[in-house]
Amino acid sequence: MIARQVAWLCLGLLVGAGCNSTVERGYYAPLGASFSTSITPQQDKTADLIVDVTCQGVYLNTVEGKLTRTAHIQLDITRTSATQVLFPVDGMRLDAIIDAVEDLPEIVDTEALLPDEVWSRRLKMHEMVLVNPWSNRSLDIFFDFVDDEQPIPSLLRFRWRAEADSGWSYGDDQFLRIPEGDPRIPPALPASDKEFGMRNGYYFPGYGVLGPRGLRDSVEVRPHYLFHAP
Amino acid sequence: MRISLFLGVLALGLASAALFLNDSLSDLLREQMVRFDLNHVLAFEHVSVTSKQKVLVLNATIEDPETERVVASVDQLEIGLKIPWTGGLPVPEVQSIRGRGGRVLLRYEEGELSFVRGLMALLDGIGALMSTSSEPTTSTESELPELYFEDLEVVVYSEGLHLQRYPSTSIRVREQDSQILEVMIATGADGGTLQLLLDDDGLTRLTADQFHVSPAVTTLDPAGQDILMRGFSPTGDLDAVVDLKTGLVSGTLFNAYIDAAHVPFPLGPATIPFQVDENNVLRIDEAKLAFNGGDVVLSLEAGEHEAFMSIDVDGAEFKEEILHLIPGYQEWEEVDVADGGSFECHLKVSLTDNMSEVSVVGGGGFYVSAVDFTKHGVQLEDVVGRFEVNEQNVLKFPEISARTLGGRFRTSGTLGLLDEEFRIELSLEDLDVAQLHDVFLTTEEHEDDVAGWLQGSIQGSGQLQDPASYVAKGQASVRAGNFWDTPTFEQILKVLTMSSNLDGHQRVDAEFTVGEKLVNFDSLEIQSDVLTLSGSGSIRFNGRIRFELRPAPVRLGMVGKLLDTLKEELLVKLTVRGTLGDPRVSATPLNIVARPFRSFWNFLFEDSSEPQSQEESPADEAASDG
Repeated sequence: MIARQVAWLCLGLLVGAGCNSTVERGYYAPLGASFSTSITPQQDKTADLIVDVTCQGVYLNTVEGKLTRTAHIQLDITRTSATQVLFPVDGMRLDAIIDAVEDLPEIVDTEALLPDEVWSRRLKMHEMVLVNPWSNRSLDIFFDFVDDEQPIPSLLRFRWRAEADSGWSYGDDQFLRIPEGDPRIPPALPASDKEFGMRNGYYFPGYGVLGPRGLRDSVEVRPHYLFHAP
Repeated sequence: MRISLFLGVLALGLASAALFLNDSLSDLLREQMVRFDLNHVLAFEHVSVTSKQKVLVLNATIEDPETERVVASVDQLEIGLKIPWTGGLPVPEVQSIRGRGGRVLLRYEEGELSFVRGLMALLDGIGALMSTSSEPTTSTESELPELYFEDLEVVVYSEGLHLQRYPSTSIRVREQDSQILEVMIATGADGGTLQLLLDDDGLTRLTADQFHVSPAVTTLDPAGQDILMRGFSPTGDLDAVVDLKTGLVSGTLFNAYIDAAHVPFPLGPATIPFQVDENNVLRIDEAKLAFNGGDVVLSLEAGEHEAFMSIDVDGAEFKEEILHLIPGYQEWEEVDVADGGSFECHLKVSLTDNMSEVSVVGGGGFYVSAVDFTKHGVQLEDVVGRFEVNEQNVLKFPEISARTLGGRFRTSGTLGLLDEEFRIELSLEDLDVAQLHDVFLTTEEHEDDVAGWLQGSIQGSGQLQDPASYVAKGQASVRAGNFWDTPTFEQILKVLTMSSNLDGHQRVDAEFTVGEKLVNFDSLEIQSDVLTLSGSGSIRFNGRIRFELRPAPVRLGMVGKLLDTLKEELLVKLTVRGTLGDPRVSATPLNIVARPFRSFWNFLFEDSSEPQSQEESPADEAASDG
């Protein structure tokens, strides 16, 4: 009888742990930057290109009816030159490093991801993202994890490349997860409205599970139009 | 003693004799000058005989016979003479003239170089003087004496421009052949040389060899490019050949700097090849001029009545001084633009109809790292945009965007360069309202009491120089806002006898138009968990506010909705006057249905006091409107 109760207890703990792991959201800061409750972008800057990379973290959302773990990266690209620049979608990659060890150069477990969706405001990008001369463009990039059961990655490595007349540019931005329980994890503040939950640069902070991912109607001018129902 | 006395008398006698001889010579020279009409060209202060065949003239001046202005002064003039006796009278012949010290003024007036005119008259006189004939003849008909001046300061004067001085200059005048006079000017300190060839008609050819020129010098160009030369004010070392008979000019300006009109910084150094054809058209083909931050490639084709210019800048570094090209930029006192960024520009400029019609076509792009609006503490970062100017002289901005206040600002629009009519569309994307605090509220006691994220769009138009013509309309909303702690909302809550310690956020939606010195809110709605305010009103640019709002409590359930409807539609109106920092709020029951519902209102808000009814008098309203 006691063994049975212990077994149920263990099962309950396991289920609880499993639920926790799915509800949990990972928040990240650029590697080397101090943690902050405000989101911190990482900037790649050359003479003719400024790319601000922001990591909204890893959360669960519903994609095509299925609960999916997703890493959400935002790019704010400013072309400061007289020629256009092209960002191939397949040149954007995310290495989700499950258990990065600080002292160990080798990566213990990595999931390499290509973008599942890339959006520029209301437009879905497919092969190439073009940024015109002397202009700015923002992107939402979603990397859906194949295996939802994996722990939340401790390190995200986002790489991109871009082609211009002057040659190729490359970016390599790493984001370190803010440890669970750290006071600088964005507080779980309720979303102030249903369409848009930005606070301190974070998208719906405090929410580990967001609703269906999709384009929402909006008459407002926004840098991002792909919203989730929280 | 006797010997001393004798020597003294002897010296006195000799001096008197010398003085007598000098005075006689001065009189003699003056007589000859009058005889040959030289007295209008040459004057001197003193003449002395230094040897048997040399006369020293002190402080001689040469005048332009047309204007009678002094064009040259020579401190010391040594004239080598031969004085044969003709008809029982001594007739001096000048063999050489050597000058030292003094100043030559080069000035272009009455269609000629005044110095050249004076020099020609002098040479004519000397030629006549040397002639055995009693009538003056031109200098070219007899052999000229050697003319050489040294240690002169040559000063080039052009009205409105800095003088150009050539110190330690020597001038040698000699006959190249019987028809041509050569004036060779060699300036000291590597200032180069200038050769002038003259015939009976005056200056015919000018050759410069590494001759240093400045704007004053370039206006002496007899080819008549005065407007262009003044417009560009070139400085540099000139290699050029100017044929005044054909009008052809070709040359190169080395180490050139251009002080172009309306360009507040020098352009250069550069090498500028140029030529002027027989039709007096100046051509400059792709001259590359450096400026602080990059290079501009300039091509020019300019006649007397029209000019065409192309200006190309690629990949230049942005410096604040570039903005000084914008007319009126100096008056932007509250804008602080930092160096840093890049830009390109490709423009074609046409000046037609006697240079009175200006047309600019082209475009470019820019990136400016930071712009501070110092008064409100708002900073724009990474400002990037493009522009183009079309043949209708309309400046278009397809898009300019910048990061600011935690969000992004985008704008596009047009500006008529001739009529200064503008149209602008502006969008604000997720600006942090807390950082906009200083724009709206200036009272220190209410710092950090507003929050939220602002988005909006505005369309505006007007005439740039006439703020009264500005009109704009737009919409804006603030999410996750907190306005309850602002003076206006504090007053509203007080009038409604509601606690100011409200939790939760508010959402504000507004549609507005911008008129003369005020923003008119056609609709304004503020929603929160416990209260909704809706209405309309205005905010003047001086901070005066005027709003009519209707409050409605938010209650859940059917009864709450019914109460909301009654309350919202029928019961009370809030009147807001005063300023943003010092508002006055009063509640007015709507008379027709107010009384039956007054007790109900009090019940809702758990307040036994009478709602305030403080309809402002017209005088108050007038005072409120400032």
